[in-house]
Amino acid sequence: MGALAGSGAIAGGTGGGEVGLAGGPFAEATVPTFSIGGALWGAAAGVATGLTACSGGAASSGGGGGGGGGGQKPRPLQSGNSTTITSRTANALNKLSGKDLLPREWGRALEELKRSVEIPDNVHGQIMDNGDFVVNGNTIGNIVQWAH
Amino acid sequence: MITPNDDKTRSRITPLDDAYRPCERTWAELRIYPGEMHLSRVTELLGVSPTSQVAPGEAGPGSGSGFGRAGNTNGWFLSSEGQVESKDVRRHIDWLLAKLDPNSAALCELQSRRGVRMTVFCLWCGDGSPVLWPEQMQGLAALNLECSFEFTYYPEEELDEIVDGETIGNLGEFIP
Repeated sequence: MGALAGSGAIAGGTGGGEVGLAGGPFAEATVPTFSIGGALWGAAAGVATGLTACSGGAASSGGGGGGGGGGQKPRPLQSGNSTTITSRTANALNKLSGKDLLPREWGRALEELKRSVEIPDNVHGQIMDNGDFVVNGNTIGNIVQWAH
Repeated sequence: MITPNDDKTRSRITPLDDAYRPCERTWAELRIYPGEMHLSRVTELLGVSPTSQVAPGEAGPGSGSGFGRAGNTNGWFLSSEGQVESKDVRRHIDWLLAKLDPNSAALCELQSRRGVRMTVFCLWCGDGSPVLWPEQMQGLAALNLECSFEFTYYPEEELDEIVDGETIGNLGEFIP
């Protein structure tokens, strides 16, 4: 490891800007592991089972169910390998959430959602019209939760 | 330590470019999913604090739109975003490697524990493409870290502010 390139562009130096553990948005907790079907990302899929109920409850409780609410089956806004949020998807998510975010800002929300679960980066999912992010039929989370 | 004038770099086509215009933003992040291990134990082992973390459970008011944000699994993250002012991903990976280098043995020991998974995730937002030099590849390999890239692209046209059919400015100029 002695061949690291120069660090002249580093801002803040070591330790600068790091957040404290207690001050973060999430409480620390030790949790049991989950698994479904022994898939590579079984832990994420297992947790998604609980989150499906969580996000589904939020949507059905009037929290912005939008296109996926009203008993309609959620439909995909965007799918495929690209994680770039299209203008069409952003508009639909804005309508759903009452927000006014640019596609790139929804992109950041998707980044945060994806990092909150343990899925390989080469696995891609669908963004549904109720905000759910679905991978292989499993709801991994809801993008609206992660929008700032 | 490699510098642009080092003999080793003379044959290389792509010099370091901290102001690489086609790139809107880039960063590198070590993501550790430690399974049942407490997140503070990861911090203790590595001797470095995470820049963010997640843990399962309800976590605050969420977006305020009725969607409650909840963590899904234990996640410990060390990101160069906001720490490194460069649009060259090599700088970001170098920053990560420098942070991890003092406790590289602990990182490898952590990898040997059941249920612990980790990756280095790099984001590339914009046009153009990232380049790695052997120093980054060597550093990642020495730490037994995989490296993934995610590419996003938001054309500037999307940010044009149009009034009465005329473009009066571009919001992209105001995004830090």
